[in-house]
Amino acid sequence: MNEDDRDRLLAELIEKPEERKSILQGAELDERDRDDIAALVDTADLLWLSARGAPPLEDDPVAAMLGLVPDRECRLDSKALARARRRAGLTVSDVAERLRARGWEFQQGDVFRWETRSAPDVPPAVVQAIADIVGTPAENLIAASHSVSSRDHLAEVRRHPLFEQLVDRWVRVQRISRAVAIAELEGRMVATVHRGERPDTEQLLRSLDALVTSVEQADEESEGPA
Amino acid sequence: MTAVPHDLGALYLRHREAMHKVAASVLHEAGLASEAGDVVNDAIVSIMASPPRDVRNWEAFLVTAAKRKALDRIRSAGVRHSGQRFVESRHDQVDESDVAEDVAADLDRKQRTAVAWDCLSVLDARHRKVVWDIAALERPRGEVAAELGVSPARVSQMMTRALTLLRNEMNRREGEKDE
Repeated sequence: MNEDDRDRLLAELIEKPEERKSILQGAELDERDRDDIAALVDTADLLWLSARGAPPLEDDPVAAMLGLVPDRECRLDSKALARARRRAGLTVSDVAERLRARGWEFQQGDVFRWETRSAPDVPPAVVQAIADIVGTPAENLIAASHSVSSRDHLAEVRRHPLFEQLVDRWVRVQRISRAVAIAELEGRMVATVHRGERPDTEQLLRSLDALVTSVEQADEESEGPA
Repeated sequence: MTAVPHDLGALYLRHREAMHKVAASVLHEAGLASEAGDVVNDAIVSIMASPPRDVRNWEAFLVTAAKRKALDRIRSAGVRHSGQRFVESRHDQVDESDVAEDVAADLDRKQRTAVAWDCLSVLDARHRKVVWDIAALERPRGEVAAELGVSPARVSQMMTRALTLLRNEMNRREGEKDE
């Protein structure tokens, strides 16, 4: 194989990854050429993969569904947190330690900051985790929102009776507070819109219904007779 | 089982990069890489619906779940093509295949993507542009050739040279690390 043929073959293998098998079958290569080409394609694939990864958190529908995107309407209230923690007989350090035991990467200083300054970066899932730790409903830890919602384009969906039902079902199946459930389902819709899709109200509700149903079905199966 | 169950959100936050990379990597050669996000979503919904017990290594578990769903998607596309019925795998089923065993290799591959990216610094600007734009960003060769004022055939030559230099540099660095 001359150099021109090798350059052409390599370019083709990189441009058409789904056709690699057939392209290689049609190429006349000795073992050494085959190994060289395989190594270079592998290097190209590593570069390709280095440019791939998770989307930004605010555009990630999975992160939204899991309550990982901070939400103005589900914001941790600093004073309420301090009161609830003291009522539970826990120190700032205890709360941080229990969050870490649940998989979160927070330190004592983070909890201290949430209580003494502001906590706009605390996402709904962490609000729920803190509520579980201090033994209070998450609603008791959430600051009342006076700001105009950044999700006005979702107002129609939010007012729809089916959305209310979906929230109730999400609360039951996820065993979380209503405020957190609303934040997760709304976040999911926002992330869907961020991905470039412009679904209408019916499509958004259908998509949420499919999500809730899929989790419910498996939950029922796991609780059913062995 | 751990005394306190881990929050899935916390685990996803920590390992989502690895999950998305593995899904994309598996789907790449099937031409389905754009579906990596959906695959990760399927994996997480499956775990939410049926939380696992006795997980010793969450990163390996989540990466395996994403990989399994990616393989499902490839099989599903093939089965749809043949008109048969597709049966989805579950993230928690006992797996006799080599999927689970491959996790270490998948995680190692994730590390190697960082090495490959880092090695781009050994290339001059033109070769770096060719290899990055075509191999990583999937831009058409003709477009890149036009921007550089050369022929597509010349771009192919530059691509081979750039990949060879990158490969040599990666081998050198990985060799040093092994010593």
